[in-house]
Amino acid sequence: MAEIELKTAPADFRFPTTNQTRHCFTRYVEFHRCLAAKGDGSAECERFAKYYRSLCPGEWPLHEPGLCIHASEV
Amino acid sequence: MFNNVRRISLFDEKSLNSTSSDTASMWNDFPSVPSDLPPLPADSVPSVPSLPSIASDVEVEQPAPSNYNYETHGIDEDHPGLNPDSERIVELQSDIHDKLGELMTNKSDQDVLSAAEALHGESNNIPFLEHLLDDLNKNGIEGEAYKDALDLSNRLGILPDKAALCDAAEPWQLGFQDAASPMMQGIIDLHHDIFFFLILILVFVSRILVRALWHFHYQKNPIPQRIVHGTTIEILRTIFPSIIPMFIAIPSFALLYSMDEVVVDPAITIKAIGHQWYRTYEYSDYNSSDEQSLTFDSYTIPEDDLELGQSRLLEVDNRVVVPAKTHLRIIVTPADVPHSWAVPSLGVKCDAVPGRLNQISISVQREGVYYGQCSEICGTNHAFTPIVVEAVPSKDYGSRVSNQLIPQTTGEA
Repeated sequence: MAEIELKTAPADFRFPTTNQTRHCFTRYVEFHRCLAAKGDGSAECERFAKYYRSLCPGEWPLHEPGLCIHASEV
Repeated sequence: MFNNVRRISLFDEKSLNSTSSDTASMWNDFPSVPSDLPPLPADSVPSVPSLPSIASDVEVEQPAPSNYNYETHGIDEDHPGLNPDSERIVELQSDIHDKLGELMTNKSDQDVLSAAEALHGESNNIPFLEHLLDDLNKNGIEGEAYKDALDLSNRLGILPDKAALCDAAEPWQLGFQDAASPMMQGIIDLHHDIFFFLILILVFVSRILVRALWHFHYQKNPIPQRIVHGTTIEILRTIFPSIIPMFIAIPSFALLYSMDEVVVDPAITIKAIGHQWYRTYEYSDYNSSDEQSLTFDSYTIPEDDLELGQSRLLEVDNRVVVPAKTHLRIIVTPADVPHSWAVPSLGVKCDAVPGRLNQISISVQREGVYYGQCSEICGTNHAFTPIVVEAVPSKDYGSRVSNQLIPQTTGEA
């Protein structure tokens, strides 16, 4: 069984406090901005994708159609 | 009253009162049922001096104990109350205890006794006990019997080399649970610091109060003192109480600000999502696309389904598995109403507020299972949503998570 490498969204100094809601939102927006800039399926954007998936709960409706477009325009 | 007591009970009491070494020498002195053993006069019994002789009507000369050389013959017709089988059983149990004592070299006497008791289980079956003793003698540490002894004593909760740790609420508990994270250890240390000043002030104020009540009783002292000034004492009683909070504040602020510092990037992010009335845990660091990450629900085990040894209202079906000695980030949020994620052993209590992600950084310093309960009223089953964190060694963490990952993704996908 290969060791799972333990890696997650790093501690962001822009969000030093307990409330990380903006952190999740910012990572999500960064991901979509990256996609808008570099095109869909780009590997560099995968990093941001991992970050926002680590932070944001799966139940949050982040994959609503249309939401991504608005996020990348933020 | 003790005249008719069987010999067996004499030996039982002595073996309870003595350590294993005493027991061994005792058995050398007084082996099992002899047909012509003279009863012991009271003054020759070393460790239980108050026991009188077994049969007072038998006159006997008492040779030195080391000269006794008896064999097991059968029913002792002179002393019909004696039972050679029971003698043999106790002898075997005691030998097993001694042998375990020799093999378990780094355990305390109490642990050896408990392990021995677990192994022979106070059994009356002579062949079983003889088999155990043979196994211990022949195979020692490698044998089945020794392994069983360790296994049973571990299962009974006797930690071989350390005291039992308190990681869950105990009935009538007065102090904190044992710390498993640096934060909790800091909280406990701060508590000790403050408690010292607390007791100091309590004793001092109580003494002044009692003294005033005692000496100014209206009957004993109808005219109270009329002192209204006292510059020295007024200065002292202003300065000292302002110094004491400084002594309290220094460790308090140190701990407070150190809790807020995030100096190390966490290795894992776990999301603890509160629902009415269960918890969902998400380990999302490993999914490669937007499909569902490792997610599982954690329901409390109802009282009827508890197994022996489990705690009521504290056990869950799926525990949060975390690697020990690793920096974790726990994101606490609810799905419906406010909850609170609390684990006292880790020094964590974090409110889950709808629409908000609260982050806590913890590092569990030792392996173990830590229990906590929901700490914000969330409805009718608020008392029935516990939290169980299981810290495993880092090298086992991968296999534990992937074991949960495989059935989960096939279930969810």
